[in-house]
Amino acid sequence: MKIEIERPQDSKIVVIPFGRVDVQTAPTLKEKLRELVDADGLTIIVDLQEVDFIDSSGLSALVSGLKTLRERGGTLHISQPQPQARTALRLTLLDRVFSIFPTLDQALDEGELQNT
Amino acid sequence: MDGELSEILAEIQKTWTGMTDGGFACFISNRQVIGFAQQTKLPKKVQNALDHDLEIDAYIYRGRKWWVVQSSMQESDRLRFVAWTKADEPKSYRHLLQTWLDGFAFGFREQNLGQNLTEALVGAWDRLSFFYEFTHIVSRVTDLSELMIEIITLLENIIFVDDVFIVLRDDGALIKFTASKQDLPDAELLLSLVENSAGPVSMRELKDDFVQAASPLNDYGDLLVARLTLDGQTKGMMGFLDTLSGRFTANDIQLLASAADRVCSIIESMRSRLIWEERQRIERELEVAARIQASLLPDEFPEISGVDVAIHLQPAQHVGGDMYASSKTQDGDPIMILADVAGKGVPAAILTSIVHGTFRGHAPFCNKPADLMKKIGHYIYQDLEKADTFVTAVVMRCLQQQNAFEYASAGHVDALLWRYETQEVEFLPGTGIPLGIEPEYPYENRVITLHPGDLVLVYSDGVTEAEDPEGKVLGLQGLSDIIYATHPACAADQIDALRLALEIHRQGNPARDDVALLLFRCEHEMDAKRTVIPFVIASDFQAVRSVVDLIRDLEDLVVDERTPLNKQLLDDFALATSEILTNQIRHAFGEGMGRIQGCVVIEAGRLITDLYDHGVPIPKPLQVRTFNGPEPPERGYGLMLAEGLLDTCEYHRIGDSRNHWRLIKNL
Repeated sequence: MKIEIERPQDSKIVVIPFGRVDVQTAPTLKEKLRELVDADGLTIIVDLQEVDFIDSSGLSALVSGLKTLRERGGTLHISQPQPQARTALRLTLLDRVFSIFPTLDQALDEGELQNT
Repeated sequence: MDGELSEILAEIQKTWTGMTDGGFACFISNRQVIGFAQQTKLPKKVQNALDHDLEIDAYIYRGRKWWVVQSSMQESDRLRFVAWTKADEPKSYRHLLQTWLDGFAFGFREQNLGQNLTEALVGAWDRLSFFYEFTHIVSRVTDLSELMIEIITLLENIIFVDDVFIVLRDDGALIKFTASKQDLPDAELLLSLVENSAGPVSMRELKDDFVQAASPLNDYGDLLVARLTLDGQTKGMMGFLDTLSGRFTANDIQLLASAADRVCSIIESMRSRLIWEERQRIERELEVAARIQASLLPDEFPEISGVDVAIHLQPAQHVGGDMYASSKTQDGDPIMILADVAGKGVPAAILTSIVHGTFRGHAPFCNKPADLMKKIGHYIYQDLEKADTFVTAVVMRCLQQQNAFEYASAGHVDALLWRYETQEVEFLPGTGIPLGIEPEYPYENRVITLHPGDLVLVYSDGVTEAEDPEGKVLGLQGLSDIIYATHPACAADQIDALRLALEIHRQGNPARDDVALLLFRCEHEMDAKRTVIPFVIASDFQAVRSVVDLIRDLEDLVVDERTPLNKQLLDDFALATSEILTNQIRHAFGEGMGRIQGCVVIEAGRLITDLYDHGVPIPKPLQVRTFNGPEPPERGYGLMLAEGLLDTCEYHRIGDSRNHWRLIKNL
């Protein structure tokens, strides 16, 4: 699975996975998130614009990333989930756990929490 | 060291690495003067040989062949060549290295290479070019005789003797090649004299025999001959002839020994090339045979109203012993045969043509399958007896008026009958012994009444006996599992699912027997009202994607106005299905490999996935976990998603061997 990483600020990392985050590829995303947590107080934004399919394993990877970050005083946000991902987040109640932003800029600005 | 000497060494190094793809170094008094990079770590044995003035002849270590060669001349500085090649290069390179080193040592002692290149050194260079050329001829020339002539011409150019010869033994006859184009006298005698020699033999050792036999070979001043051997057998000889007595030196003996080595390996590679070409020819003929056999398959199946028919034949080799044919009975009913000739490949394929012809010839004069079977048995009996084999077969006749089919089975594996009403599998036993055992065996008929949705699968034992890498067969259970899961689909789709299931079951294990599948299915009134897409996947996570794709691709399918399929809906349904599939793979098979089969069904107003596996039952009733508070669990979202996305998500254990999941989404 292709994953792009951007670091616009020292404390903010944008992770952009491409394609499917499913039982086959989720372990890669989970491992990547774990590797990126190299300092306290980080914010990682997982941008889902390019993800057209996410399953429960993909959601688990996001939750795992959030926990790793929280242990070090950081957090994980989600931006631009596509309709399929929005449904999955809603049905699992994870839309109450993550801050979800309609655009990446808003996520970077830590705009208002959006419930989609 | 003299500048020209180092140039010579550089040239040797370049030539060696160019021709062998290997490495070369020269050591003078334990100091490396050219060759391996400093960081090159020599094998312990090589280092030890350098330290203790030992020679090494073709020592293989980690895929490389090593030599340590010492100069045979007495000199104050110790000169050594160390070289390696790939492990499969010939041992005879030892001679080449020795010749170079001796030539070089001579020049080194004289310190006067500029003007007086010694004869030895010139000889060494010529020999070098000989070996170099040698390597290239082999790739250029494909005809053995032409190759032998090129080799003797090459040798003649470097050794300057009266004649160079190669003699090859071919089915008792001797084929002679000489550089002078003169005949080599008494070749038989000479060959018999060197038959048991270990290395090149010279005039001195043969003289007495020549005198005794009053051979014209005795007229030559000197002669050197070496045996050519292949797999320990004498395949011929090669050698040099000259009028000068005592003409040949130790160097010439070395050269002949090396050349003989190379000629042997050339004959060997030539022989394998010929075998390969012969294989190619057979392969081409088999391809033609396969096309002929495939063309015997009817292009069209008999038109049977209300019955959907599909067939698949796959020989394990190019051609096979499974066959199928169809015709009409005297009364005009469709009649078919599926037969399996014991054995496979070409002999079996020839016999299938005989069965085919006999069936086609007699079907229009019979009505009862048993009568036709008996006729076939009678006519092919002698052919089968001569070939010492037998045939199992099923002849089936469709009785359209009675919604029934009548069959006779000559020792064939039991056909499978799926009863739609009871959702159960039955097996149809044989009604007689295989063909080729008794010429007049009285076969019996059996009539089976069919109802809508029922199906009959006739197959060969190559299906049920398909083995996975551990030798476990697909078996009747495996076959029934697939039919159970795919039965609502059309015959062609079910055949595809069965083929895929065989492939998955084998896990790359090659098919050992031919595969034949003939399926007919009675149409059901539901067929017109639903679309059924069967699938079979291996129990690995990667395969889940193929089912996800299958569902998402339904977007282009137009069912009816009551069943609008949009992307969002299909994505949701694909997600729910993939969650249950993932769950099945995780829990039903443990670490082992399994198979999941099922159908996606689109019918008025709903989407259904039925999933079947033969794994362990799910122990507890399903419980969807949920969570409160800010700390979400890391796992367990799969069933939440499936429950949330579906209108129905049910699990049943069927009998003691199958798990069934039914997922429904109302539209």
